[in-house]
Amino acid sequence: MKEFILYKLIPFLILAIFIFTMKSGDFLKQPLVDGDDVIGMLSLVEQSIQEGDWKSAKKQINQAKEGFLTVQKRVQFSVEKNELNQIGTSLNRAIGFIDVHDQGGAKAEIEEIKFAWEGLGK
Amino acid sequence: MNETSVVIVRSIIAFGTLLIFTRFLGKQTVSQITFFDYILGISIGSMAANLSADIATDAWPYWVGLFTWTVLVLCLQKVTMKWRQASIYFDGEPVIVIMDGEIMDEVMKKLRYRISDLQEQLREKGIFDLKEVDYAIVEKDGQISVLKKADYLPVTPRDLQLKSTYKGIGTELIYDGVLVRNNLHQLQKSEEWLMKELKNRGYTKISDIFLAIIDSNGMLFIDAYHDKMKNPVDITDFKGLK
Repeated sequence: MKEFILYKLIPFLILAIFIFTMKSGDFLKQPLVDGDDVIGMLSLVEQSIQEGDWKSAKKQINQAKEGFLTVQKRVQFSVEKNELNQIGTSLNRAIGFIDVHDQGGAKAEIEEIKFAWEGLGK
Repeated sequence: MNETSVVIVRSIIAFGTLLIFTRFLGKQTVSQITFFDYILGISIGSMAANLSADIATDAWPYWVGLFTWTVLVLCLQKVTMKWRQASIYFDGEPVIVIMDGEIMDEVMKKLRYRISDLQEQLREKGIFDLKEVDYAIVEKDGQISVLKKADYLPVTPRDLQLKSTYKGIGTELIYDGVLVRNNLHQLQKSEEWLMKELKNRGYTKISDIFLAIIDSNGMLFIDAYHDKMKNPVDITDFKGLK
């Protein structure tokens, strides 16, 4: 029994923890606490842009960025650094487009974030 | 993204995985590995290194690569253990390069094994004259095994019809200042006996002893922490940086 625990159970448990750590990105990017629903907030930003409400859009995109920073801490061990950088860059670009009230640019960046988010941790 | 913590976590994963996987692969020692095993080891190590530090890429593909290579090595080990023909096919087999004192030049050509390689390996074995060699075999791992001609073999007590005493292997009684009680009990010796032996040699505490070994004849070898040598020989000619 002791041998089974030492040489079979413990190694398999450790490997299972490792696998969970590496494959947890897809699960951990989902909203788990208040203010980390990045995709939900981006939908609100899109809506505000559509309505021309740039003030709300600016506030919501900043909230989305805050949410992204929270999620980033959770998923950093299981996703590519480049994927996170790409989303971060697109979020900053979207903020810039919203600042200058560029509807086309902002929407393009949001779509890009959504696409990158879809592939995050997969 | 905190790169430091990511690399630390990924290194723990790589280290732990490698440790577990190599335990699964068994106890084949470095001296027994063939050239192919050596390359396998390098490939597996390289994947573990990338898993540890290449944070631009997801950890998972490297881990799957590591797992797949380990499983393949495990399969190869099982197959070569079970079928001798497979073992010969995959690992090769020992080849005689000197037979009856004669160098097998055709065999050496096939092996792409130069006469200078043979001489070098013989010298490493302490043989500087080819005349002394009866048989030389290149093993699977590239090492050479030599059988000297009877005239050049060292004399043994048996040749001289002398009686030799059985030596056996020594058993540790004190290791790094700590008493190994299990060994003491197995030899049916008491702690008091050991203390008496130590006192006879001028030691008062077990913690003063670095290593104590008893041989099959009951003779004790004792090495203390504080070496008594007054002028130890220093063989280095490096006197440190000035």
